[in-house]
Amino acid sequence: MNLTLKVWRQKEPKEKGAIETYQVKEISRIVFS
Amino acid sequence: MLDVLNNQLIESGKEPVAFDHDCREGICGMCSLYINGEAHGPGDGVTTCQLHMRSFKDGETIYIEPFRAKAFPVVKDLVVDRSAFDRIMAAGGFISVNTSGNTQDANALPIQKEHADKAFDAATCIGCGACVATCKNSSAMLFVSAKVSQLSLLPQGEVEAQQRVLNMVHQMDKEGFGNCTNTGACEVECPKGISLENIARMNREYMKAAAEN
Repeated sequence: MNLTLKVWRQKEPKEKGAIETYQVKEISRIVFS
Repeated sequence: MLDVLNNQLIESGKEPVAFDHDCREGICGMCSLYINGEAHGPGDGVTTCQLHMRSFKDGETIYIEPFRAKAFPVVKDLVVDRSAFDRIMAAGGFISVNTSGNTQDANALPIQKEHADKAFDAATCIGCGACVATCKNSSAMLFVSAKVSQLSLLPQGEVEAQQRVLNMVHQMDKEGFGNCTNTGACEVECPKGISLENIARMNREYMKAAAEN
């Protein structure tokens, strides 16, 4: 299973965060985290 | 799955995604995440660490965000500071037991079956904060009421019940959690199925304690 992940990235508590896009491939039979 | 992503990021020299996890079997309350607009993602009665990837389809786009609430500030990426819950617990989420050697055997105290069952159900709250993240007001009423109920329903917790509810609610308000408007979203998204009945119980106890103290 191939997925596109839109993940919230934020370096510091006071810093402005943003969504970044990643691709993951061959995901199967596992849990989310 | 997030480990797979992080391995990819590390191998390509990029910063891995910070996220909370610990037991990875749905009992510690460390994992969080807002997945496709739902606390702990799709599926009933599961935490993020119990969420199987079979819940998603090949080619799907998944949005992963931290729990959002004023009282849960983002520390980094998907990690939020949930120490407000610890401070609420420190304000009253305990019972005082004399440990001088004359401690009462808990099993020797008769407890109504109905009360024991309700206390046990309340005690299954793992303090993950999904209720807060889901609530439009970022209210922590479900969490606090579960802790209040768990203790006040049992004889060991009755002694300090009034002061406990006053102190815990006071701390909850101080931490910046919002008010409860009874939408019931918290109960729907709670991975442990904590009932709104606990909020009703806490409100009754709070009103009684406030009137008598």
